[in-house]
Amino acid sequence: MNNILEVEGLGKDYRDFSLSNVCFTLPEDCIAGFVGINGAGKTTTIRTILGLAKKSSGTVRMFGKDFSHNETEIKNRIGVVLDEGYFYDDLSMAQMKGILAPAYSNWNEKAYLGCMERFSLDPRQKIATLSRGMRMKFALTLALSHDAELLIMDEPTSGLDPFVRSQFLDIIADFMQQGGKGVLFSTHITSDLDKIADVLIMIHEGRIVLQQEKDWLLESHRLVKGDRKLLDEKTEPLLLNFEKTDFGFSGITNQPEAVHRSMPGVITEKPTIEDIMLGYIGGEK
Amino acid sequence: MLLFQLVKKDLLLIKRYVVVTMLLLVAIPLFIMRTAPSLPGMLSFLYMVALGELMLLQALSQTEAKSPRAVALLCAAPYSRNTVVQAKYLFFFLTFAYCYVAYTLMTLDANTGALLDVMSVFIVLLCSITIFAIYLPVEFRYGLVKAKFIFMIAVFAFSLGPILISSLFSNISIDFSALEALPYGIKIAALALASVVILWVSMTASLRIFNGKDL
Repeated sequence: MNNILEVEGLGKDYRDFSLSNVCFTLPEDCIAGFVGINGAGKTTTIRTILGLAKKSSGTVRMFGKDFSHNETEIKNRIGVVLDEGYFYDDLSMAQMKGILAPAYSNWNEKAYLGCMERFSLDPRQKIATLSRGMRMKFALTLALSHDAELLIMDEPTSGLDPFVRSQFLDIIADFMQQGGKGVLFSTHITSDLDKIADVLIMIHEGRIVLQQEKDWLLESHRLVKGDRKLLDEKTEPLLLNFEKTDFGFSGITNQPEAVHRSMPGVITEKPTIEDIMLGYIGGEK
Repeated sequence: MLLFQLVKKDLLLIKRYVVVTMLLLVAIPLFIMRTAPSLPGMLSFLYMVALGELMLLQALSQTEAKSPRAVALLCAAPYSRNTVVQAKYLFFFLTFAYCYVAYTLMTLDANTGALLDVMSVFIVLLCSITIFAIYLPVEFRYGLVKAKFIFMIAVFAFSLGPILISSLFSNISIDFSALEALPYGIKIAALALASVVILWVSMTASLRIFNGKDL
């Protein structure tokens, strides 16, 4: 399977935050959930990948080509959905489309009109009057109207109600069914990723903490609950993180068999993505 | 061409101001011709260009400042950063061209016979390019609010300049007769060359600033 996106050693320095050696790949036909808490570096990574923020190191390759040397060609092949939409508020949706459409060599007016109808968007409506949900639908419409092969989306579902989020995820699922596509989808709403992600890329404090297939992660990790007495110098390292309560402890492990051997009587459950995320980046340990 | 699409976008963003400014600019030469017919045509043309450029570019900058992230969306689409910068310079030239055409038509219509000569057009072009060529890189670097503030100080300093120079160097007299003796064609070529050089330096600076900027 070809990699549709390859990020290697990406760095970006700000006075109070930096991205350090960010490396990950997105294979074709995969939806990658890019997760992390607020301020972890998701938006900075996406902006740096797209060249909107200047990288201090590293390379970005899309469709096997270096982004900085093939910018126009690559931008024609990607659809971008940025947080809040980034539109001119004084314009109508039709006018905003009129600005962006001529830039794409393969603009598909039929697909645009189809999406507008599917989302019940009136092209004459002024962008300033759109709700956040409508803005994100319009952003997705524009991203899907030039036969993009890769969708890069920054927090597209945050602030949306469950119905719109579900509609949004359905559209992405339809997009992937065409084959040969890829989606990089940053979010801190992990329940969305439970539904559609194939791969998870986790970032924390500007560093990639892990990149794994979602199903493998869910199978290889376990939520552990048990008596506090079971925690000692030998057993604590088996847990990625744990939290002590009045009644016991709960934590996440990536070594469930070793946990069962060393801590007889503990209860293990299948974790959610959120449990795993918190296991790697938060907690008491 | 993508460059023209961005100029179209600029006009769309300020379409209300464009109509008002176009009408106002047409009225300026007519008003000056009636109230001060002895005033050289070049001065009223300079006034027209300065006012037109100022009104339209300020309106554009202010409208764009209301949606500061929209330029990031354009640059995430196949518009390059270079095109975004070049479009601003093209917008300046189109405004200048409109002023010239409007002025000429008004002069013909008023039947004053005071059509602008090529020299006057190039002098006005050089003056307006010089101001614009300094302003635009400053705005790309510091943003609209700071650029306006910096320019207010600069205008104030420049307005004091001649007074200070004349009081400090009252004995110095500059002889322009050598310049005046140059052939007409050479003078025009020198003005055109100066305009091109100033514009090239300004655009290079703007491109460098905007290309290194986080959007």
